[in-house]
Amino acid sequence: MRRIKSAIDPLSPTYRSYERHNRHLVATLHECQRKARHERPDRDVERLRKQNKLLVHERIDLLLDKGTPFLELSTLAANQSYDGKVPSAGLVSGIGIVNGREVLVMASDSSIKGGAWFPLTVKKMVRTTDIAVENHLPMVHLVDAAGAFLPFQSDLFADRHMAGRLFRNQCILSAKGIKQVALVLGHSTAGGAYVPTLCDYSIMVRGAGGVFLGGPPLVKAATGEDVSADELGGADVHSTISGTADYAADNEQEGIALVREIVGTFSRPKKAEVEYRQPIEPYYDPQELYGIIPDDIKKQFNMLEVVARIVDASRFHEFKPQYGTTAICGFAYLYGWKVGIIGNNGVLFSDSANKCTQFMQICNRDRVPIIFLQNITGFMVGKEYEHGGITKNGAKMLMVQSNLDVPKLTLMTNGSFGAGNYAMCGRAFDPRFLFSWPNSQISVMGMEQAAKTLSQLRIRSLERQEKKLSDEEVQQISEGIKQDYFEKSGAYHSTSELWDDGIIDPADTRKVLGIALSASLNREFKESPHGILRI
Amino acid sequence: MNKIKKVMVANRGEIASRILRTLDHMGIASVIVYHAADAGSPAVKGASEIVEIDGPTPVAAYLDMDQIIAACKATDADAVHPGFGFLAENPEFARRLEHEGIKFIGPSPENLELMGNKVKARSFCMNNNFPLAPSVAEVSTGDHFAEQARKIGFPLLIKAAAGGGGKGMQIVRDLVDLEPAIQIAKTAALRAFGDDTVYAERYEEKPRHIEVQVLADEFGNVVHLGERECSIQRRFQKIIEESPAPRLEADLRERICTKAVEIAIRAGYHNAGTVEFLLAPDGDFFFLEMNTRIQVEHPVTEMVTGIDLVEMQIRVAQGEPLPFNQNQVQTSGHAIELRIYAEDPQNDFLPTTGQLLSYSIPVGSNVRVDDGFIEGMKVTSAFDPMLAKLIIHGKTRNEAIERACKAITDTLILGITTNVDFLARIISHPAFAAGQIHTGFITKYKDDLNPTALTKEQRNLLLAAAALTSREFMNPEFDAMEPYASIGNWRN
Amino acid sequence: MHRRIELLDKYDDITVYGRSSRHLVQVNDDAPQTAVLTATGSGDHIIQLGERHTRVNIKVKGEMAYIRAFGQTFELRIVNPVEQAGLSVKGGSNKARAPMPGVVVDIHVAEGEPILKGQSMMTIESMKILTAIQAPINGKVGKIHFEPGEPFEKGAILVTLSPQEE
Repeated sequence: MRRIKSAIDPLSPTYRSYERHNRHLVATLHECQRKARHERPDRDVERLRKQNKLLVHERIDLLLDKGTPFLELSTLAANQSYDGKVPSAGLVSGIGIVNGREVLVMASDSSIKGGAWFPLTVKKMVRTTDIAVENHLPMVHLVDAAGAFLPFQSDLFADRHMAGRLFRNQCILSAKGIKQVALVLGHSTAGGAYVPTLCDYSIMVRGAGGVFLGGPPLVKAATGEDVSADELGGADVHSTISGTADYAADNEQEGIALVREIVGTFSRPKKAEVEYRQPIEPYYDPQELYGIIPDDIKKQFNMLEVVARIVDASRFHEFKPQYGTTAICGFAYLYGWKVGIIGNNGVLFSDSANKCTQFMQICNRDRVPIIFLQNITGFMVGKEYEHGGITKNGAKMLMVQSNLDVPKLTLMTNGSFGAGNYAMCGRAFDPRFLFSWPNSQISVMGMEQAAKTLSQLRIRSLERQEKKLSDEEVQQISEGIKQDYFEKSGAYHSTSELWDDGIIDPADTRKVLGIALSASLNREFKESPHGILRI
Repeated sequence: MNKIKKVMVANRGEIASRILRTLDHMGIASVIVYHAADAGSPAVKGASEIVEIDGPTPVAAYLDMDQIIAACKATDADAVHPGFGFLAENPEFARRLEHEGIKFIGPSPENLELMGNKVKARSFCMNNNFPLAPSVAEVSTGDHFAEQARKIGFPLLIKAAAGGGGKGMQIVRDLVDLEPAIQIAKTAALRAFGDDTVYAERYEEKPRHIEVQVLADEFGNVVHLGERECSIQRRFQKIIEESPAPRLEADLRERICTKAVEIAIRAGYHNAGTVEFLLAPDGDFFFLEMNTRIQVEHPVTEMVTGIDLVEMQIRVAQGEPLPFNQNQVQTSGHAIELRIYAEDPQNDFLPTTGQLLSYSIPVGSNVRVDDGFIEGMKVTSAFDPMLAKLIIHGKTRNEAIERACKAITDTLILGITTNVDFLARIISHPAFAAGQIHTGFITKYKDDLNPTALTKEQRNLLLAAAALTSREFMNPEFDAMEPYASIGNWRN
Repeated sequence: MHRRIELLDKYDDITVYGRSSRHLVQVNDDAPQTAVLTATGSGDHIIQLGERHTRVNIKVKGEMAYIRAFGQTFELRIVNPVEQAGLSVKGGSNKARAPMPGVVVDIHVAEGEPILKGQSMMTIESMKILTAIQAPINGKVGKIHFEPGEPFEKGAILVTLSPQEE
């Protein structure tokens, strides 16, 4: 395989200005993440310390193997909801290593409203367990949650993918032989009582852990019975009398050590067979990505330069390089595994769409996972293209992509608009993991166009009410709509709503995709031998 | 003369091995009793004939006279060597053996009754005007004892009447500790000797413990084989002994040894025994007790006189006269014995248990090792924690100390905490070299005898060595796989 | 791999990185150093850590490592992580442990009985030395884990107490 030849000049003024811009974006990202992970009101931290409780990240540090990475997912969930008062949606989830085994960790953050479940918390829990089901990842639950946040109950209870889905997923995991260990570090009431109980192994911390369908106040209100939390459903009650839990630990540290011991007894899973070679670091420095990504969504860049800073040895075998040049398809190796890469270098035309479709078939037949590098405004529009069958060819691409058996990973590098998002494996198409760069934008159509359309509608409606608008007012309305649109299509909004699995630092892309790929290979995927249609 | 044909060794560990060695040497058949706990010991493995005994505890087995006598009869043993401890000073045992026509290799039952019971022995000395340690209380059962003990004044010692070796001995410095000390001493005495009678005695600070080895045949010949210094003690048990006693004027030595012989003669003593004295700093010496058995530290006497004491015991028991008179007893050079115990000097000398993963004590032409263990054996809490005796001889005391330092440094015992390094620090202490020895030695130099603290680098080297050798660390089962191992410690 | 090791009543966190002959050992939060252990062929080893090295005699059994070095003999215990978690928490332990291996002689309290710190709960014996086991805290006797006559190892939990209700 030949190495990609980079045309980037790190000394050019363009590079320098992009780099400044992106480093600033990344600094902001890191700061937001830091706040979300570690900034809590003193009063809440005090309360936890008094109860002898560790903070959620302290628990995770004790849980994971020293000297190993932890890929935290959706750190900035709920950053634009609930007044920003529920960082990370009150829950930490991520992939890490415990005693040499890959696990998916889901940990309540009891420093935020006692770990109560907000609608986005529930959405994050459902997404996390969905990840476990789709990738066959064993789970470790660190349970310390007060239960549903009542004022928002109507947004987290009744629907198909709301709270109940979490428990349903746990049951599905169990039947698939995907192990779950729970450590109950706080009170786990009502629905929350099922989380540890549905796990294969349940450990409770004495004096802190509590599992009950109704807590003491509810019991008192319902039957008049006076009973303490410990007597009702504490560690000793459940590990010696009812059998609802399997172990009682004296303190959090012992509980975490027990979790590690249990996970250490799990066998190492056999990974799905994908062609593998010795891993090599990229030839080009991933940090150069800061100088490659433009400071404006309308500016273009060469996706090949991005690929060069992700894959092993920066080597890439491009498929059909002279055809459909607005899409890039090719093979590369990521941490030793062979992957297929599909990226955008412009709008999708019939030929680029067809190239992608042909390539995806090859990948599917040959058991090559696919990474989608999105930077797409959409498919080309216009008479020539409609007559050329652009809609039909777009549909073909969608059809093949949706039905792929190989694992798919998606990265939003810049723009992701309309049908382009669909074809390039957006969220709805079940990529195993989907990540965004801080500069990325996602909406049903490009901002300029959308804002213009919306403004026109607004203005016309106002004019119908016989309000004459000055040019200035028109301008203001337009700006306002643009601003709002911009915010709602930004990465922070998207990650807040859990439309992705997290915003990542572009320079970390290789590591993130590497871990995601490794995690996805825990589930065997179907062999699909069939002839390749030269679309 | 009644030649002994077969000796039953009614003991265990290093003394049993040592006795078997002499029997082998003399061409006398031997048989040994053993409890299952000792099945792997060198004595049992090397014996030509063995008989298993049992009991509610391993110690109880070796105290079971019925079983031992039955074993003798079953194997046609016509003599019993009781070693030390267990039944060695039990007059009833000696009597029963006599009754059965089996020779007890040791003093007569009468000797045992008189001297074996420490209180009777003291009365005997008092009546014969032998010098005694001041202020003794008569033993009694009941409340009076505590009252009388209190009258002796503090500090005082509560000791077992039925046996020695410091077992169960309690030092009481305060009235409030008296009652509990008496309880503990009685319980301990009952366990060790089957008799809970105790007596109290004033405790002298800083005396020297000098004992004299005597040997008497059945023809009235009594000799002494020199004295032993046994002042290096912890918990009232000797851990280092030597012969001759350092810094002892010839005249005083002569007087002490002669007094010992006098006592033995007056008591009508037969066979081997040891008269223990307390030597006060001012040169006065007092009778402490007489040990009516062969003692743990007998090898130091053997190494300076060249006489095999066990052999002498057997000859006397066979009715032979002593083959030498007092003038013919020559001593040459200096011997030091180091008792290697399975205990933790840093934790109040509490006994330790474990498996002897490495066990290597160097022997040489001037280094004798009396051993009860071999590598791989387990050390349990069933018996006394003594592992082995390391006895070194030198032409002078300094040479003996030098050789002892080398021998103890070359001793390697891994798998259990022992006092090996502690012994090394004692004998290399300048006060030891200067012969400034008394029973308070270990307490006095407590701080000097602490191990040197480790530097941080040394500590880290140990930690690294342990980590790299242990399967707890080097278990590939728990290694992170790729890409995690390459990525290392990273958070997004 | 990461474990806590106990040596001379002090604990250190040791992490070992790397594989095969090139290991890195990190003690607590110090910088990791290269570590190599080589057999000398005469029964002992040389351990090298960073710039320093020394000769050691070492035998390992289970979680115990016995080392002779610097003219002293040491016992190192590699702490089982579950056990270590119990040790890392500050505050008076509500467990009374055996200071040495031995056998229970007598029990002086009953389960459920209120108890004061320092009060004697049971008498144990090891090689004819009797020791009293005292309550480490004020509270109630929770569970007594051994019967008279039952033997136990060093460090065994003899009595668990429940702390005094506030």
